[in-house]
Amino acid sequence: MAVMDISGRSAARIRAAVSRVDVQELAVLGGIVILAVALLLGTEGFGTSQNLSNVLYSASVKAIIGIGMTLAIVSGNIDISVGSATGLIAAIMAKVMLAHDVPFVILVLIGLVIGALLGCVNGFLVAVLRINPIIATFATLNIFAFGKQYVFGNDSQLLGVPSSLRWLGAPGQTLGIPHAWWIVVVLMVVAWLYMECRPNGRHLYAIGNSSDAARVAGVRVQRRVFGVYVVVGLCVGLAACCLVGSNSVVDVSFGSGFELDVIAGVVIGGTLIFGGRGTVFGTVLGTLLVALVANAVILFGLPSGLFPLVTGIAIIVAVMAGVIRERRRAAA
Amino acid sequence: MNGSSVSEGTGSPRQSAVASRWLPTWSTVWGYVSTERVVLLSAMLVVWVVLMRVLQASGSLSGSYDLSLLLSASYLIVPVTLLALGQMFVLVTGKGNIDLSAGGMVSIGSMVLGYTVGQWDWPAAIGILVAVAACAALGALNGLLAAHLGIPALIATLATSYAFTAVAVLMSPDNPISTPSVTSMSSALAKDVYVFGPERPPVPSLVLWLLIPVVLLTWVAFNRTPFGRRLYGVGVNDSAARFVGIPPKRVRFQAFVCSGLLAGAAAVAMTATYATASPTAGANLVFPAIAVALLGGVAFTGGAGRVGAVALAGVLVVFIHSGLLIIFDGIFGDVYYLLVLGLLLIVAAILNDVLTRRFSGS
Amino acid sequence: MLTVRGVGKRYGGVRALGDVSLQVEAGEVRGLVGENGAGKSTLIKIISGAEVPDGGSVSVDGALLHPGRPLDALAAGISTVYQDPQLFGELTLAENVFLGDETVKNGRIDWQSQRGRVRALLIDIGLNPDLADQRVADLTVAERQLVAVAKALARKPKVLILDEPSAILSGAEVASLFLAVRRLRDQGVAVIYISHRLDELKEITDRVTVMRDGSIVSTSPTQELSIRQVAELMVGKSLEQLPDRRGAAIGERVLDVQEISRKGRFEDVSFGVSSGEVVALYGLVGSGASDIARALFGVAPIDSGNIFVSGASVTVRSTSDALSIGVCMVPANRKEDGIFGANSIAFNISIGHLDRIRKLGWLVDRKRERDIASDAVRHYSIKTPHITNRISNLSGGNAQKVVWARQTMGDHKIVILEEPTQGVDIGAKGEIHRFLAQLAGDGRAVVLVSSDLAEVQHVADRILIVRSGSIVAEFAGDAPAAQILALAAGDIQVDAAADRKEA
Repeated sequence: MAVMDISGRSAARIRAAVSRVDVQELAVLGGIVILAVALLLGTEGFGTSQNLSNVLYSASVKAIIGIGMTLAIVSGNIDISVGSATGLIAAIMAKVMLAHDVPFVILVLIGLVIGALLGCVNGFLVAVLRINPIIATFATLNIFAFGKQYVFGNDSQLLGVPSSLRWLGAPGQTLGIPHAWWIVVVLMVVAWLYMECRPNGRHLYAIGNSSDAARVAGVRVQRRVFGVYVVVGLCVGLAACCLVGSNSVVDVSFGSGFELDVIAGVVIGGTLIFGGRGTVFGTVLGTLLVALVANAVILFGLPSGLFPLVTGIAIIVAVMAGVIRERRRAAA
Repeated sequence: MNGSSVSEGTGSPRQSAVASRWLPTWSTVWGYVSTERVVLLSAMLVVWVVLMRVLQASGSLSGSYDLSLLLSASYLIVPVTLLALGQMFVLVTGKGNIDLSAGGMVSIGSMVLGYTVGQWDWPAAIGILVAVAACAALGALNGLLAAHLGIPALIATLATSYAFTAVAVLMSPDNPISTPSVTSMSSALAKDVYVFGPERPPVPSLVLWLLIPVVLLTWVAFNRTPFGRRLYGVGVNDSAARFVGIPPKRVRFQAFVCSGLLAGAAAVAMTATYATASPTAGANLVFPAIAVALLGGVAFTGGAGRVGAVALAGVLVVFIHSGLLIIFDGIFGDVYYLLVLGLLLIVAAILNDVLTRRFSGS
Repeated sequence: MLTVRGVGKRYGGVRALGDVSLQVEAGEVRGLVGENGAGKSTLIKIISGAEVPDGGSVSVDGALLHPGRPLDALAAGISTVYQDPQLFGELTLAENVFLGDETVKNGRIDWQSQRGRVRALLIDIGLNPDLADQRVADLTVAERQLVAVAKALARKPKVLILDEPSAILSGAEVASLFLAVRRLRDQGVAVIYISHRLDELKEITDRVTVMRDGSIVSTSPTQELSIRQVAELMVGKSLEQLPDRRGAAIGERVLDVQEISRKGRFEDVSFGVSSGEVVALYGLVGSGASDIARALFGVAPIDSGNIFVSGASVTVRSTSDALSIGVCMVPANRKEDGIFGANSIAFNISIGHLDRIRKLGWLVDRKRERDIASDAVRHYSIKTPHITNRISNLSGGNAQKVVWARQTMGDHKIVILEEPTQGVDIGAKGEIHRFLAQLAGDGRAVVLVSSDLAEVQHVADRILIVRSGSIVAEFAGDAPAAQILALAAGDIQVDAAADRKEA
């Protein structure tokens, strides 16, 4: 009897949430389908299982970070240090793996812990010292880059990294789908449940709407914001593990430019850049679309420099769409 | 710096169009140092030089920290300070305005210079004008997106930063352009000038003919023109600005264009210094520029900051950079530079916020 | 039962509240009235813990409350519904009601029971229960106001304070509100109902407390007072006499406004102002008077209608438009719209007149700037050691004078003043009224928007009463105060009924 009651409640809630699926998310889904079909018909390389799993894999690394970033942006904050943080963690892990024979689980734990620590730094600057998130994470972007360079020392590459993390990397697949993608799906569900069903998760939307009103309503804003940055750090740690798992060479350029792709995925997926609105489901879709576009650029033989240009334009269009929607709503 | 900040009792009240002026009632030294940014920066400069001399005396440096080192490193002041002033225009107008795309604009500017002067053999003067105009146009694009269309400046300029860099790379041929016309332009523009006499270390001419005039012009713009008043006004209270007939959107747009102009100037400086037009000319310039601006008292929330302090902050940062290069071996000097800049940026941000809150009467 | 004893509060040099004591019984609906600046909001903020009083105490059922702690007040059972409810637009109604106070079961929010309670609450207030799942941003403004009431009710308060709850509600919605209030009274809640609508207070309250100039003037059972009597208690003594300028030279029609409308704010407003004349737009909170003024200055332009300046048709879509056609305005909220807080007095004055201080086209003539600022300081008796003093150091009255000096400088034919003496001490108030008289004496056409009845009676030649976005009546400046207030606050019939009662 109790089981049926609980499922009745959550079914009702899920039904309500599904009915609130956003126009933008549907549009992105449509875009993905159209682009996939176009690539399937227009190119030879797209349909191969190798290519598809590569696309999924590169999407999953960014999507993992994107899930954390969604929480940050929904609460009205941002973290542009994720790129250098990823590179830093990858460098540390490579060094560790080169020096010792460390089991898989410990490695992942190391990645998560370091990620959480980096997140604590950001959280401290933004939530405790009240520094503007843009300035704070811009500073840590460069401080983490310093850390990455420091770990690398005079080398620009770390060679011969053992493949202990292979399970998480590109070659780690089951049924042709990378494990990293499974992780994305699991994380997405967990994050979605948190943001829909836990009070603290809903509070993030309130903080994004108006942190002053949230404080007055009894929300512990400082704690939530700090926590959000720690979550971003954890996601970054996990993503770094996936990256290291794909290569036996860890390069100093790992992670550079990630922040752009991650933010692109988040805003294309319908999350408002001002905060207060957005879902992880949309972010995962948005990241997948961005990965498909990157794939298209390669498959069509276009110069690779085109990709950041397209991403930049896509971000602007997506944010504009959000701005227009908000203006229309405010005028109504 | 003289103590002429005391304005009570003197015959002519000083012109005071800017924020961060302190009051006659602040009598403690700490108050003076924390509110007058120029004083704080000068103190930091002195502390740094003393520290370097101490390290030098104890033999820990790989070179000697003296005037010749500083002057040879001073070419770096030019692009960083130019971009920092560009950031100042944008940051002063408030509401989170920032220009992360300055590096990309410099890269495009350098490529334009490379094509016009290097490949098409246009006269250097024309090429320079076209490059600066191109960067101003890019600044206008930023202004359109951030000021008129309402896209938050962070996102808009983050996106354009990548877009501009991509365009610069797409524009460039396989190798950086350093044709004879470019090298001759560079040697004309960027030679060393023996200001202190033939035996003494020289000063890069770019500092003399580009940086100093631009700093002076910027100072005039901020402190002696109606445009400067409008910039500060919009940054302090854009609603009140509207009530006096000043359109905040237009002023912010103009600020982004100014950032573009200064990026163009920085592109000229970079191309001339390295005698090469390169699509990565602007890489790694934005971060020091923003750090210098914030160190110079420009608050992220707007309405504050003085040109003199920003210029002095530029000097300080270059002093620190050249010092780090001889403290640490190899590339580590540049690596620790990132760390130090990051920490300085954080400290500056906190200090600026505290002061803004205290002096805006809230 | 709520007991307030000896509570006082000063803001800078201005006394907002002086030794106020009040007791509201359980199961009583107490009306609280007073003009703007009478101290109502300050009193409410102190009761709800949003402000710390300078002295005195607040207790609920005998238990003393910590001053200045809103969460303590909430826990003690004091719920407040403010005029501008801080709701979260992106969340649903149900989520808004329970935010910060969610019901959690098995580690997850118990949506089912929350929804059930919200639906019951909505039915109680007379709203459609299906609204519980709607995004608050999609609700109408009136519905959002009722959401705020539901949120307060969800905490089962002992004391409920409603601050102008009906300002934006229509007739039927007000009836629902009254239903809820009566139900609460029957359940033993002490309700404080703040409103300017004297006719509504007559209907819903048991006793009425009138405040004036920071003190309580009277507390009486509602049925013993007529609306006219309440109005008279509110208004009190008038200010110092100005030289009688009635009958002063009033010249040509300078401003003509015909049937201007702005969606949701005001509709079909027409009036005219002549040079040398002071016309007041008198209205209570939310009446639309401010919106009319801002439309004339181009801050929030009109949707339809015509504006004529000296006979010529004009379009005003921005403040620069307004300034160029000869309209200037002194805004109400000087902190938000008037002051450049971090800058000096000289900057604050010259920023509005950059064209006057131009030199060689591109530069600023600093001597001219200093002269203009010094002249203004002298002319308006602005108390400051020097013109380079930061404006945030000045008192409210002096800062207002700086804004006044800047905004009215020049030869604009039409001057719009929005609440010019809000938050200003008595001394500066008198000075500003003298400046106002001077403006009219110089031949300018003055439009005064004010919710301060004494001020309006003091300076205006004509008084136009604005209510719910329309001009409902016009009086000469010397009409009886209470009549004006009653009209602004209630229906036309009320006035006639009150007259019959007196007779």
